[in-house]
Amino acid sequence: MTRSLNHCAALTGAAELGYQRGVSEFSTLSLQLQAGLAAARDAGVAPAEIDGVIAMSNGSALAEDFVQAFGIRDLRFSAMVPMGGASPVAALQLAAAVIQAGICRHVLLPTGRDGRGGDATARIAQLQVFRGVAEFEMPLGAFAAPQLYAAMARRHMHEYGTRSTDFAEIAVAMRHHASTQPNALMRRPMTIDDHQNSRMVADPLRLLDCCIDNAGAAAVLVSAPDAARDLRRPPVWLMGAAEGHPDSPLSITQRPDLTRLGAAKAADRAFAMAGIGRGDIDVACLYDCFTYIVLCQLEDLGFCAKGEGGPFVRGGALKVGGRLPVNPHGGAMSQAHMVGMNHIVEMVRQLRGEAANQVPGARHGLVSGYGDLGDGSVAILCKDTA
Amino acid sequence: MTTLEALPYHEALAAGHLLLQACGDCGTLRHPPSPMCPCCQSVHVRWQRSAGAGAVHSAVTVHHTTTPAYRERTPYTVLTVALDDGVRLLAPLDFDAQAVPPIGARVALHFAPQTDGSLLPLFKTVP
Repeated sequence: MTRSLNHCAALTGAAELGYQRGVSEFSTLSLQLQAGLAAARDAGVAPAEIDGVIAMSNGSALAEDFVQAFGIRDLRFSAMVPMGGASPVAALQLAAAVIQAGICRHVLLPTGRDGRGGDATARIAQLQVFRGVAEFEMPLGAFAAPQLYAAMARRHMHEYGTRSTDFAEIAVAMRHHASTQPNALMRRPMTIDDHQNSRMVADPLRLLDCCIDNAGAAAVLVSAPDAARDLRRPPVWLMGAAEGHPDSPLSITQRPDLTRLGAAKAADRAFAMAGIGRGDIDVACLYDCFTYIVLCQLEDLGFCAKGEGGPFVRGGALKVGGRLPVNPHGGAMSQAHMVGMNHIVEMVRQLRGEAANQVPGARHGLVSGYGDLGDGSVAILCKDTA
Repeated sequence: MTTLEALPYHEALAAGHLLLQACGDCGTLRHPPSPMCPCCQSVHVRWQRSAGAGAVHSAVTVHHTTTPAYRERTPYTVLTVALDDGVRLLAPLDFDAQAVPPIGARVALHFAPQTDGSLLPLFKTVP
């Protein structure tokens, strides 16, 4: 029996707190509770009515913390989706499935971090999915995400002639959007030359190919259709959702094709469920831990053929007004790194027509997640037309 | 943190040679070592010595790291090498190498004595 999740759930609430560099005055748990509360209030749902929580996959806050703080009497579902930056979008698929099964009416997806707990290298080394990297590759000189992911970028450049200036186009477009986004951390405009003159971090990746690291929180509420129609904000409908795991998911080194991510497997499933094509997408929020990951996803998601990501992004194509507006909020490159939950929040705003950098008339949007060495997740959302 | 299945690999590496894990039933080579053969799901293994020779598949030159042991070595290069045996191995390029070998170039694994007496595997280009 095949069931579709198309229009079986809606995003009814979305919120993010102010992002900041350094450490927050609040704890990670407090920030997630505050963002979760704000998402519920945005929807007009009493926090005690939430009956499902998909907690952040690093275990920094548990579903039980929300039961305790929100006075939830009967939590009917709790889970974690351990896919790193692919988790929030993959959690949309899970939330919709749980709602379609009749288990829950309101599922909360919170994220947040307070900026404490060491740098990204230290945090990554503790993730279960990195245990193979920690045992076999960290002793041999590859410690952090840019060092691991740059091997994929190098291979793409070798096979397809992709240029560093193509990566620059992506960073420049994200910064262009962030410059007019009030809740963005990096707002000073950037040029291609700025990118080319930024120092190498892990050649071929430069400093301005990397996302930022910050404190903050964001959350969305996913609700059942009958509940969604009666809430205070127009629902944003889920049309399609899927997750995909790359070949050799635990080791990039052994992956047969270094340039193919899990998103390549998820994309066709998500579009088939949604019943629309790539050309119907008005705006995309793509996970952007590094510029190259955006370029590779554009190919793996089917917006262009494999190897054509470089030509696709040239000439400001990803800016609002370009051929495919990507990350009008500035993304993790320039707005904030919130494990991609801010990408979902932005998509909700785009499809409500209330975004800071609104894509005029946006009806269909695609949001992607990427994480844990190559896992991918895709959700296709649409504006309410009732 | 060392997994049980990988002990022979780690012990061999520390002693200055590369051991690769093969399925004890179907013979398929795999790396890194793991508990089950992805081809036939056998848990039996045998170990075979590798010459450590192969071709560069990808290369990353690290200019920034927060890891103390490697910070003073920057910039250094980490190679993804397609070993002739059929699996890939990630290891540093010789820290004294004058140039980063291009993708496709032939390299071979060497073991360089460290100041603490241990051996560090690294690749050198094959002239």
